[in-house]
Amino acid sequence: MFFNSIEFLVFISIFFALYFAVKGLPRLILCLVASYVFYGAWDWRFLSLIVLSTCIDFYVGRQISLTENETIRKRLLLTSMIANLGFLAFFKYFNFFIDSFKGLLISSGIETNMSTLNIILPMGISFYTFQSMSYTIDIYRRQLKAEKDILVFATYISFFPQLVAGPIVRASDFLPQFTMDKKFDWDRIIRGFGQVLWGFFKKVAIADSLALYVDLCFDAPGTYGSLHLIIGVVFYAFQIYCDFSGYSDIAIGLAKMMGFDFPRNFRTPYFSKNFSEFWERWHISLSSWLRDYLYIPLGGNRNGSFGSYFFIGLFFAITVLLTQWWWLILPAIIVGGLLFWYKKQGGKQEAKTFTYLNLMVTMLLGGLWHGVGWTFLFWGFLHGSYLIIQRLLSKPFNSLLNTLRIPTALQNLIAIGIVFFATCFAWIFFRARSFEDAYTIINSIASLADFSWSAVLHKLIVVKCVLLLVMLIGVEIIAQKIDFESLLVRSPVFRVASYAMILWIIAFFGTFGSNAFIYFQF
Amino acid sequence: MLTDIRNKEKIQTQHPATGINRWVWIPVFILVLFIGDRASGFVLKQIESRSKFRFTALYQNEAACDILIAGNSRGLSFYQPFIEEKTNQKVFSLAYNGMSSSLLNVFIKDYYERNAPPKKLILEVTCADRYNKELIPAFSTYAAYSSNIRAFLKKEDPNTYYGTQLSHLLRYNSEVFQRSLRYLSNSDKFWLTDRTISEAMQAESKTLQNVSIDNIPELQESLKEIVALAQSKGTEVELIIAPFLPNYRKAMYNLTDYIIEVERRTGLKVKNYSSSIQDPKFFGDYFHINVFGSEKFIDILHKDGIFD
Repeated sequence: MFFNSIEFLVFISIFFALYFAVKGLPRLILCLVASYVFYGAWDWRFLSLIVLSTCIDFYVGRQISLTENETIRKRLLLTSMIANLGFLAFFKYFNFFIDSFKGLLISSGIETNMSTLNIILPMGISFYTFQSMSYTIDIYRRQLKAEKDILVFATYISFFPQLVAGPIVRASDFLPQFTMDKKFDWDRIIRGFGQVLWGFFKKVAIADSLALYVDLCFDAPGTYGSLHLIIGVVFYAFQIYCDFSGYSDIAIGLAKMMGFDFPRNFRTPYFSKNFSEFWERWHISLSSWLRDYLYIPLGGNRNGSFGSYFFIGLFFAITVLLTQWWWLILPAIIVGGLLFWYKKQGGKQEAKTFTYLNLMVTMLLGGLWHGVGWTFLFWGFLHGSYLIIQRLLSKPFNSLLNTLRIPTALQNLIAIGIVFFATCFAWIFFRARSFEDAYTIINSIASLADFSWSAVLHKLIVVKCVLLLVMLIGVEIIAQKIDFESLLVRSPVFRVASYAMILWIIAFFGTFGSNAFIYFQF
Repeated sequence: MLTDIRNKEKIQTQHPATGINRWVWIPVFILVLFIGDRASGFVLKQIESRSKFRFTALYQNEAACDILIAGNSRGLSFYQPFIEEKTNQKVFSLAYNGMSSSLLNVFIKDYYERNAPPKKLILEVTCADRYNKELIPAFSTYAAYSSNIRAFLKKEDPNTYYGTQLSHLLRYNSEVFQRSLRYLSNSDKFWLTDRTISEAMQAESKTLQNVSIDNIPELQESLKEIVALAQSKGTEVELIIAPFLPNYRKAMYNLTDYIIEVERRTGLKVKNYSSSIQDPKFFGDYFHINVFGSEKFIDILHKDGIFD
């Protein structure tokens, strides 16, 4: 059941009618049942996976909180990690590694009849696994008390608004909200409904319209000219933003109407002036999860740990072995040597070396979290590299801009342009079906072949999409100065006008069909 | 418990600033939404009716002609200005990108209901090889004019049919309406791509193998209905296959079967020009000749007496 479907409209109408008619335990049961119905409507068989994951983490959480024995606590945490990551690894990565390993054996002349399994990826597994893991880790760190009520915990894990594509809400933020009384609150309904409509505008009007053009571009990149492909790549950058942030807006808005507060997941990421800022604005719930549960435990920007070497070594070994890109060894030795020399300088240099390693490990894992394939890993590698290069070059670059006496506004514009350009470059690998396709796109763009408006196909879609993007960017710029949510509550005229305007725009510009949200596949 | 909730709600139903009961805004919102939708729909209909786009012309009763062209995007190969120049006859085209014969059947019916029969119908018959259901909702723009379109929409795409009944704005959310805007001041009969197929596509065409053209019985049946209707009105029908890029044509393994099926259903001979143009510079891509190719193609057809 997708948010942008008639079935969901019926589902949510019934749900809200019942939600505000009951209180306490019946309301909690309603939330849980509705969540399971929502998820089961996609494939009921995978409900068992969520239930199993819930039971394991509920039990482990309780047991950790009941003992002070550090060895037992560690073992219990390890049990939870193995179970959660085991499910994720099996359903998401098993076939990928088997395929790659088969390729390695065949190229080494070893006959194999190893076969992959017909595994369906359970929708949203990456999201609820991370959510569930944060619960046990926080209890282990004594930052959270174990939940005593399994119904509350099960609802937390399966809460339907954000179950399949986030935001990843921490237990420490979410669980306490279950104890609060949630009355029918007009202001929350108004704010939440506004956010839901805005999310639909982003998804149905913008992302799905952009998808028409983007899909054609990336399905047969060899057949288009450079300007056509440049437009395609820029459109993809906005498609994935509107698709994903649109989903987040709908999820956060629905939760708000129900009385729950979720943190923002996107803050106009393409206005970022550097790559660190980009990751503070893009998929915030994932980047903060990776920061708190991976980057900082690895040592963060202060020092390193065994994990820093282990993960980077593991990534490198697996990549070289399975892709058989043996040529990677030489540049890796050079980079490794440089890092070793840099680290030997001691003091700040040593800390910086670890920071670079930790950043790279975090981004590589972030890439792999998104999707199964070397292109996703490379996307993570690119973002890791951007963060490292930024740390190495930002000071001299800023000095250069100051020396040239470039006005601050223009400096900001240049910085935003650079970040956007580099992000788009990375998106090519994220979206392309293979490295060959990505190379075709980059090669065609760089050659500037057929760089003319007449060589651009589907001009009507381009014009429509540009118009929609101007609307989006315009609203996002104005939203930096005006608090639309408060205005919605304060001014009934603004509320009626803006709700109606969004619905008219969706009716006139929306692309209707069965377009699933992109992040469902992750 | 419900009474308890309602009592609590009573406290907050008055808007703090306006003092108006907040429930009142819901019917106000629905009313504004409805009026705005109908008003916008009306304005867009007025704009669309001023277009010189071929389908607007059809429904504004400005389509009467001697030679009627029909088909999918390959039907655009019959470039109207060239034919008019060669024959001194009035030509009108109902060819459109991705048009399947079932949808075309609707427009042909509407044409005959609104105009005197043309002397000749030239039908590019490869429009019976795929359904292209995505195109059907695009023509809801013209649903207000035609009971045939409404009936077809209701049968083939009920969601769009009921959606466009609910929202008139939705009728104008289509590629077809956008095209009608594009042709507000000039006719679309002068458009045909002047692009020449890229070197990369030409190279790729050499690798093509086993390209199929689908034989879909329902669409073949629609072709038969179009032909029967035209013949019943006294129109002479020419069934044509326009040129394909030679390498693409070579890779098509079942075009002959397709032609046999069309001939069997319609009882007419298909004139196969699929290999009539060999030079790739006359093509925009694998399936479409460009404007230069069309000039050459029309010459061939003229010499063969197709327009006589």
